[in-house]
Amino acid sequence: MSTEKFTISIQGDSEGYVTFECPYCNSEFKLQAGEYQNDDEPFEELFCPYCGLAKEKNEFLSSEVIEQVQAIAYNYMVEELNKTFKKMQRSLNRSKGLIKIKMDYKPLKKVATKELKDKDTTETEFKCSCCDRRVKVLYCAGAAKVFCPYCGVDI
Amino acid sequence: MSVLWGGYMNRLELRKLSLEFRRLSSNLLNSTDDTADINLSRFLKFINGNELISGIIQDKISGVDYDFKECYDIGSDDWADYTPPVDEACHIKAQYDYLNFINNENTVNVRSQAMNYCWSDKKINAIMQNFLDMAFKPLIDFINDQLSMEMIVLDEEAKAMGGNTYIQNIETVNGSASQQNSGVINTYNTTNDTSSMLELIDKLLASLPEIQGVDAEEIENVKDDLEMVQEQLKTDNPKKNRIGKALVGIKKFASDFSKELVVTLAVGAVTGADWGMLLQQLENFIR
Repeated sequence: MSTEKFTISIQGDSEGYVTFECPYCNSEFKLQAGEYQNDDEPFEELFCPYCGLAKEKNEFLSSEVIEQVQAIAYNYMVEELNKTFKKMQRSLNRSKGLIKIKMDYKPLKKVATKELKDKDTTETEFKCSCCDRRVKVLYCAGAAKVFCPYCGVDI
Repeated sequence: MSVLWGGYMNRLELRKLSLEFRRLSSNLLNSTDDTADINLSRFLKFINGNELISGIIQDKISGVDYDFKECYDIGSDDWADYTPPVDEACHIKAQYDYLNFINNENTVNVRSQAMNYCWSDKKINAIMQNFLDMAFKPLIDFINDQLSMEMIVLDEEAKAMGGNTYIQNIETVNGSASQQNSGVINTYNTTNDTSSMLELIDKLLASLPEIQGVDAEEIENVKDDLEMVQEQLKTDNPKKNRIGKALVGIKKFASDFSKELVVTLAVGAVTGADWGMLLQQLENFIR
C-alpha cells in the first residue's frame, strides 16, 4: 500500500490566527500560524488553554479541518477508482474475439470541499511570558485561568 | 503568600503544582496498555503526596458515605454499567476510591477494568483511554478547577495589594481607599465583625428575587454563593478557602450584571454600594 500526502491550506484571520479545538473539553482557541509552523521552535504536543491538559498536536485540529481532510482523502479515492474503472472499460470494450463483452460504469461523484477561512472574532490575545508565543481565547477576567498552549504554564 | 490552605504555598509553587498535576493527568488520560498501570500509580501517589491536592479532595469527600462499586458496577457478571451518582461529592469519592482499588488490589489492573465495559472501539489503547476518560476525568477536572480557583484568588489578592490601593487598620475597623489619578478617593468602612456581613448578606439575598433581566440560573448561582458565605460566617471556625471561592462567584455576578443591579436595587432600596461593601469586607476577612 502506498502513502499519499496532501497539503491543505487554512487562511487565518486578519492577524494570522487559526482555530484549534481541544480534544478533552472541545473548546476552541486560536494560534498564530507563523508561531505554530515555526521550524526553529518545534513542538510535539499542545496544552489546551482552557483546561490545561496536553495531547499530541494533531489531536487539536478543529472538526472543520478534519472534515476537510476526510473530504480530500475521499475525493482522492474516488478519482483513483474512477481512473481504474475507466481503464478497465476501455480495455474490455476494445477487445476483439468471438465473445464480445461490453462494460459500462457510472463514475463516483466527488464531495464538495470548501475554502477554510478563519474570521475575526472577539477572543482576547495573550502572550506567554515564558515562551513569548501567543494565543487567542475567550476570557472572563477573574473567573478563569488561561494556560500557554506551548509550554503549559498559566498566563 | 497564599492566605488559603494555611498560607504555605506561594504563587510560583502553585503554578508549578498546577503544571505538574496537568502533566500527570494528561499522561494518565493518554495511557496505552503498557503504561496505564504505572501512570495510574504515579497519579495517585502525586495527589496523595501533595498536601494541597489531598486537602482539596478530603475537604470534598470527608463525611461522604458512598460505595464506588455502585458507580462502576464492580462484580457484575454481564457488561458493566457506568452510573455516576448525582451528588458531586459522592462522584468524587467514588473516583478516588476506585483509583485506590485499581492500584491496591493485586488481581486488578486498568486493562481488566476497562474490558468490563462494552466499547465501540476495537483497539485496546483506544478502549483504555476511553475507560480512563470515563472513570477519572471528572476528578481531574475537579482538582484542576480548584487549583485554578486558588490561583485566581491569589491573583485577586495580589491586585488588591498592589497599585494605588491602601489598607488602613484602625483597631478593629479596616478602611480601604482606592486612589486614582483623577484624585477621586473611594472609601469603604469595613469591619471584621461577622454580624455586619451577615446583615448585608440577608439584605442582598432579599433583593435577589427583584432583579430583572438576569438569567434565573445566574441568580441561583449567586444565591448559592451568598448562602455558602452566610453558612461559613455563622460557624465558630469559618473556612476561608470556601469563602474565597464563593467570593469569586459573587464578584463575577456583581461585575457582569452591574447595570441590572443598579436598576433593580434602586427600586428595592438596596444600593450598589452594598454589593461593593460586602465584597470589600469579605476580602478583608479572608486576608
